[in-house]
Amino acid sequence: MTPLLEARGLTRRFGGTLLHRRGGVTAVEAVDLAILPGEAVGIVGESGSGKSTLGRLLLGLIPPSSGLVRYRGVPMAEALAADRRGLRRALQIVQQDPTAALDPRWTVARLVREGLDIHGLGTPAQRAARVATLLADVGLDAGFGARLPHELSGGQKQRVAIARALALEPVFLFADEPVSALDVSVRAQVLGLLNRLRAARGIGLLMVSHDIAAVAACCARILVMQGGRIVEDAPRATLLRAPQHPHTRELLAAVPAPPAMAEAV
Amino acid sequence: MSAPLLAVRGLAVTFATPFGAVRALDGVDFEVAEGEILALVGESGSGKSVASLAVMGVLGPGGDGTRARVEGSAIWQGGPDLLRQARRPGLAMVFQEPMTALNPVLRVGRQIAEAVALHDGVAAQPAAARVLALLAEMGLPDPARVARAYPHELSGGMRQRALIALAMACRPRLLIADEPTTALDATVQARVLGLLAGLRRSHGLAMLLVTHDFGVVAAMADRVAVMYGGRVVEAGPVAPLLARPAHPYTRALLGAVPRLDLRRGEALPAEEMPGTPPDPRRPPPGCRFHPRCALARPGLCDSGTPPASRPLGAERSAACHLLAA
Repeated sequence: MTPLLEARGLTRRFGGTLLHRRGGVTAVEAVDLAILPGEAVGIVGESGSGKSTLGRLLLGLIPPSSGLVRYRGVPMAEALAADRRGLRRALQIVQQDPTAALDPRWTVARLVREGLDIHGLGTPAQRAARVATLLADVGLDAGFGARLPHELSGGQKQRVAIARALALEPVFLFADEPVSALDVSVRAQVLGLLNRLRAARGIGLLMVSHDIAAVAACCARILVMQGGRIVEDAPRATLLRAPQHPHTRELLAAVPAPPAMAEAV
Repeated sequence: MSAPLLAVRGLAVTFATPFGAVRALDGVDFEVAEGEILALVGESGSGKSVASLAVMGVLGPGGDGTRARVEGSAIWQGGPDLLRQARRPGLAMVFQEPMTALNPVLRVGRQIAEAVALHDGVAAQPAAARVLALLAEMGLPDPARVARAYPHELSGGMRQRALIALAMACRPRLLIADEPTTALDATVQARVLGLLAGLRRSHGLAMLLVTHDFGVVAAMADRVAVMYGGRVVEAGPVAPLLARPAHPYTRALLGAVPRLDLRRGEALPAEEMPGTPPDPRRPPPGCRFHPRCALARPGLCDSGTPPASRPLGAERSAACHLLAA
């Protein structure tokens, strides 16, 4: 099967000057990776390990310094030149901070509808109906359409961001720390929502998080990044049961977890 | 039994806001014994930070014109009520975000020296020696370099250690730590938690640890008070409370934590708790948790503040109508 997204020798540097490479930062270094259609892949790593940069490179949001990304076998630069709009529709993103991701002056309905308007999908009446369906899909009732972002809780804002990403029926969703800004009780709701939506639509997922438990709740394959490189890439069960790389073991050992709960009193 | 180091009774905080009075903390009781770590755990808006700020005495008028009215008492060693004292020696605080807690335009050493000079009543020279000793005690390699550095030149973990050194400069008996490791990576968090545990052992330091993370609670605390909607809903020793939570909210919150079973290589599914935490401007009547509670009984749970009962012995309490009935 042709991978949906493929990276070959993918490298991205930030800063530094043309003549003096020193002083810059290599955020992603020599990454080879293939993601199949419909696959759910998680990336864990500490701040600065390059996990968000790798996601943005895979979506074609930033160009690589060297190496390349292929979308369905076609180099990303060519795919973007041929059909930028179609590619932006197919690959969607949900970001960490839903407050920053939503324009504070726009209503929820307008925020979710924007992509439909830009891509000219359906008649205005159909778009309005689609917005209502999308809000229902993410567990918000129709009354939320008229609200502004500041009238929503963090979890509700993240649901709006997810509804907006799903509006264009993407084949792939990049979720960059989708639950780390949320409360514990809301985190479980959003992780459950991502799982249900994925099961219903078969879309691919790349989820980046510093929280291995959150990634493992959604992704059957987990990558571990350190210093811009993928140091381990394994199915969830293998990675949790028999981590190979010392950094994976260090990350797993560092997660403080409450003991298991006994039955209700 | 001697008096606890800190006994908080009926602590309530009301903010005057443009939307009217908001009661962020609605009558909270807790105690911290000498050398004990009490975790205040809860979600955003539960009142855990407001409680710690009220005890510390730093709930000034907010920049947006909000004003806090603090009621209740916070008895220090059976003696003075801290809430009625402007200066509260014996207390020090560590905040979540060390970048905003430290002054960005002063060298780290000078900021700590200021606290040392103030508390020890010494001149700059002996203060400098104690600054280096404090930084070394916080496990910072090359304390002299850290003392000369500006906050932005340090990593997040180093900044948090410098902030803890600043707090320890006051020789506190009780350290209030508000989400001290939330902004840090997991491996750095583990090391900073290790540092705090070490300070408790070496100084007999008591701690009020404010956190939303049950993993941190399990690793650090002796006792825990679970907060929801400005009230303590359950309190008790950590291990039995986490193993057998009595309050439906504690049970639901613990169930919502994604966990890993490393032996089987599985992610254990988290139980979704429906609904959202209450809006402090319009708290629900009765038990604040009843609109989200699967066990709520109409006519019972939707009226009256649930009394704290002791369904599991003297050490533990839970405020639930169903347990009191």
